[in-house]
Amino acid sequence: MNTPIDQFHSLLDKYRMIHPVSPETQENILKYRNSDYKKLMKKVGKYSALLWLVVLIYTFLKKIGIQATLLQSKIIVGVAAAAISAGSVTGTYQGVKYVRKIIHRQESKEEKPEKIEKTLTPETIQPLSEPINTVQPQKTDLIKQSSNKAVEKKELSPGKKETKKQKHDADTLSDVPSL
Amino acid sequence: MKRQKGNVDEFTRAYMEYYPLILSATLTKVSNSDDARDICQEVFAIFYDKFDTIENKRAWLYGALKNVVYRYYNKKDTSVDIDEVFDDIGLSFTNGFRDTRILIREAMDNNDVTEEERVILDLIATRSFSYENVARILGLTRRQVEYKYSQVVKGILDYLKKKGIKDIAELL
Repeated sequence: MNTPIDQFHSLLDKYRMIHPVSPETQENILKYRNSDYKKLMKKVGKYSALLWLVVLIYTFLKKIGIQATLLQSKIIVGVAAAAISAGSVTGTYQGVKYVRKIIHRQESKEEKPEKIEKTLTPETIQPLSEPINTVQPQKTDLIKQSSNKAVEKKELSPGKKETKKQKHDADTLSDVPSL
Repeated sequence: MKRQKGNVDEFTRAYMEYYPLILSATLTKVSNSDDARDICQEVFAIFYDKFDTIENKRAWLYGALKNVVYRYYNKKDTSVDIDEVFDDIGLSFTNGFRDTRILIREAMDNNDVTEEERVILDLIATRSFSYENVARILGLTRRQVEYKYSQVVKGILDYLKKKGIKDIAELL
């Protein structure tokens, strides 16, 4: 293939005007570029994290074939920073809310198991003296007294209707008078 | 030295464009890559200080590079002839083929090209950089680089034709 470009290269080669750089060296040069720029900016006192970030974005855009300017790269950094800060505030709020919800749920779960545990520990469970089937309900003295009172009152005044108070007195088991 | 923010941006842009050129030129003169990077760093540090006063950045950088490399060799070996070290189209011209070299150099310098096209020409023609790597440096696509380079070469050949060289084969 003898295109004008090939001829031109042959001309430069003949007159020792070509000093080729190997593909590996070309890759290394591109690799060193950013790090050497950083060193230089530190040396002249112009380095900052923001500048470095802008340059990284600038070189990345160039690498993928986008001819962006440094100003455009700065705008991208600014927009990204604003989005991250807005997202982080919202994210932090949601995160704290979620964590509080989990803590509250855990606390409520811990209370129920504790109550059950108190009543159902092996120590608290005592063997029954008699089998369940043979145990017959026994009326307590209080129950007997109240039922007797109710029967007496009914017998004394059969005609009169029971007032609420009397009914209440008949029904209550305690000796404390109602108010 | 204080520099306005806008100039830092311009310097950064120029650095990113010319760094591959200067470092590759230095690597062909200095065998040690670490020394080459140090030399390159020194050149660009001076470039930063004098940035506002420079018109032709490319020519200035090559001139500063020559001086810094000369100092480097002077420390190592005082018998080195710096012009022999810089037997390069971008820097100087020496023995043999002088007239033709001058002519080719004129064709490359006087051609009506932009700064970007000149960088493309130097990287591809003199340093044999690939189209892909040049595209990465300049933020273009491979096709764009290839097209621009072909247009620059066409301009050089047209210039040579105007100077009486109708066919390059005459020179080959």
